[in-house]
Order: sequence, then C-alpha cells, then structure tokens
Amino acid sequence: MNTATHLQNELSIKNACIEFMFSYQQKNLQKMLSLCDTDGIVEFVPLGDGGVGKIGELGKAIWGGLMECFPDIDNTLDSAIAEDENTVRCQVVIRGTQVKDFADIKNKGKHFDSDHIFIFRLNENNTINHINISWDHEDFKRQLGS
Amino acid sequence: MYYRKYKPCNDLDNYVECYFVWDSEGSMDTSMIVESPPNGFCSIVFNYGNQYSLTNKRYERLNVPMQFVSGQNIYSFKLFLQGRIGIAGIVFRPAALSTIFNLPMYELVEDRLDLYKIFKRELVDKYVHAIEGSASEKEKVNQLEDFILHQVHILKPEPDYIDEAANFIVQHNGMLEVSDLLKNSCMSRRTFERKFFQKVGLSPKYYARIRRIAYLCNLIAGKKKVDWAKIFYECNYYDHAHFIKDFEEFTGRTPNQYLQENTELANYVEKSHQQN
Repeated sequence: MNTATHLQNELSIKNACIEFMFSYQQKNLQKMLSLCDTDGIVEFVPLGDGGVGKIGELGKAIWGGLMECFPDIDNTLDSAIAEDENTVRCQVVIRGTQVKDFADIKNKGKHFDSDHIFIFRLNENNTINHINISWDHEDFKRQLGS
Repeated sequence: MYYRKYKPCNDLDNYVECYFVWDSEGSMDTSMIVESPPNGFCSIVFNYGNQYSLTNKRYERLNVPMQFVSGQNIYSFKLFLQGRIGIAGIVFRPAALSTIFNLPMYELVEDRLDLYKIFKRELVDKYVHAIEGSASEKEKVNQLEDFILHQVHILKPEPDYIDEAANFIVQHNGMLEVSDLLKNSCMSRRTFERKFFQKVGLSPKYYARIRRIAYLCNLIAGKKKVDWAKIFYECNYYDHAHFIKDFEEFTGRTPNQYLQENTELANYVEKSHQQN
C-alpha cells in the first residue's frame, strides 16, 4: 500500500486552505498570511468595491480587526471541495462575540454565528493568491444588533 | 439486471456497512442514466464491466476510474452507463477508510481516487480478476470480503471515538444533537471537530445534515407522491424553510422536481438486503 503521506503530497491543494482556516481559528494572523501571496487579492464580496484589496493589506486589516473586536472569534470548517486544479471552496461557520466597535457596527456585546464561503485560488507552489469570501452581511449585522 | 446488498461478517462490523453487486447480466441495448443522492458513506469499487462516466457539481462528464475509492459525496451525482454493468463494491462506515488506511478523508470529499494510487497494481488486479471470474454473486461478495479482511489483518486498525460518533450519527440518521457527541468525547470542540474532519472529511454537524437528507431521499425513493408533512415529522425538521434549504443544497433541485425526475431509478434498481 502507498502511504497516506504519498497520497497527501499528490492531492495537497486543499492543505494550505485547511491550514489557513485552522490558523484563523487560532487567531494566528501571521500564519494565515504566510500561506498566502500577500500581493494576491482578497474580495470580501458583500462589502462591494471597498472590500477588494491585497491580502497583505486589506485582508490583514480586516482579519486583524475581527480578532481584536471579537476576541473569541472561532470557526468550524464544514467542507473543503476542490473545484478545479487550482481552486478550493471551503464552507465555514464563523462565530464570535463583539467587545469593540467594528467598522460601522457599534458594539452591543452581541454574538454572531454566520455561514461563510471562502473560495481559494492557489498558484503552482500551493500558495494562496486569491481569496473570495461571501456571507450574508445583513444577517451578520442583524445578529450584532446593528 | 440486479443490484443487491449484502451484510458483512461480524469481524468487519465496525468498518463495513455493506457490500453491493450491480450487474446488467449481459450488455444493455440502451444507455442508462442513474442518479444518486448523497448517502453519507464512502466506498471502494471494482468495475468488471464497461467504464462509465459521471456528472456532478465539479465535473461535466468524468470518466470514472475502473477501480476507485470514493470519499463522501455532498451533492447528488448522475452516472452514465452503457454496455455491460458489472460493479462490485464495499460500502464503508463514515470514518472507516481513515481508520483502516490512514487516508485524509477531507481530500476525497466529492472525489474518486484510482485504487492504483493507493494499492499495488498486482493486488488490485488480483481482486478485479477474481471478482470478474466469480461464478456467482455470493463468490463476488466473498472476494470483496477477502480483500478487506486481508487489509484489516495486516494493518490492525483501531477504531476510536470519532468512529463511534460518526456511526452514531448514521444510526440516528443525522437526527441528533451533535453537541451531545461532543460532551461525551472528552475533547475540546476544536479537537473533536478537527479529528472528525480528518477522519470523515466534513464537520460533525454538516455530516449529520447530509445523513438526514440521505435518509429522507431513501424514504421518497421510487415514489411519485409524498406526504411532505409526514416526511418533515419523520426527519425532524424544525420548519419548511430548513427542509427546503437542505434539500436544494444537497440535491440541487426542489423536492417536487426531484420526485418527478428521480422515480425512474426505482424501475431499474432492485434493492434488497441479504445475509452474506
């Protein structure tokens, strides 16, 4: 029998994405960024044009802000599906309790629990170079009392 | 044509849900399309008939490897078959492929991996020829059982709490509080979810949703009319909106569309459980 390691090397495009989500869970922003090309693009889709920028700038700012304003932020990775040779779609539940104002959302000490879709694109070195993130932003704001 | 399922021997009860043999007993005159909703199980399949293809969310038309291991299917898929159908397979309990073979199951979700990438070619070929040459269904099933007994004997797997939790979800058709499984796990939520993801390929809660839909699809299989109120009740849905959301997400259609398009399958496939 071939080994699981051998298999994992052959199929490893999901690994960087799963590692990214686990690092997010541990609030390890440096590790998250180390899995990405920081010049790559991140799109926080519900935020429109203002939600598009570089992973190392906009991504870092938003994820850092979330970790600061929702210190118990956590996630559950429901599934990770390879959509093609370079693309992985992760279905994730993100949750957290607000302790500080976040962007235009005033802190009311409320909790959110929100389904997110992360679509990761990877380059030939299995580095994440594009992330598209979608969620129901109206529902997110509603849960936080905004 | 027949499609029959067989129970495993007691020694494999922890790992194997059932075996199946699907045989057209000769070449078919016309091609055939068969749809399968997600069922919550994984499998190893040996094809001794003609190669077939499938369509799912990822592939418009994929030539399925002749022998393969399949991870969890989240979404319905369609098989396109022609010529001779000769397929024999082992249906595994949700965490068993990981427990026995140490496979990272998240890699196999919605995918099929050629068995030659996991096992030595000679081993796979030996069983394909043995299954093909078997004079009866019973003999084919014996070959499947021999294959997996041999692997279990060599690899000496040790099922753990994740196997137990996943089997519990199957046993309850996904209708349970996943938080209760966590309470009994003696693990943090993160550790439990991470281990479950590694061994089943999905989160426990998501797996339970799929298992419930699988149960529901089984309840309505082959029916032209369904008492939906009774189905909601039997499948323990809170409300209509949850039911529609899950149904459309995993089958890709509304319940009524599904009924109209899926009844044909029941005319082709004979399902029966027999003791091995």
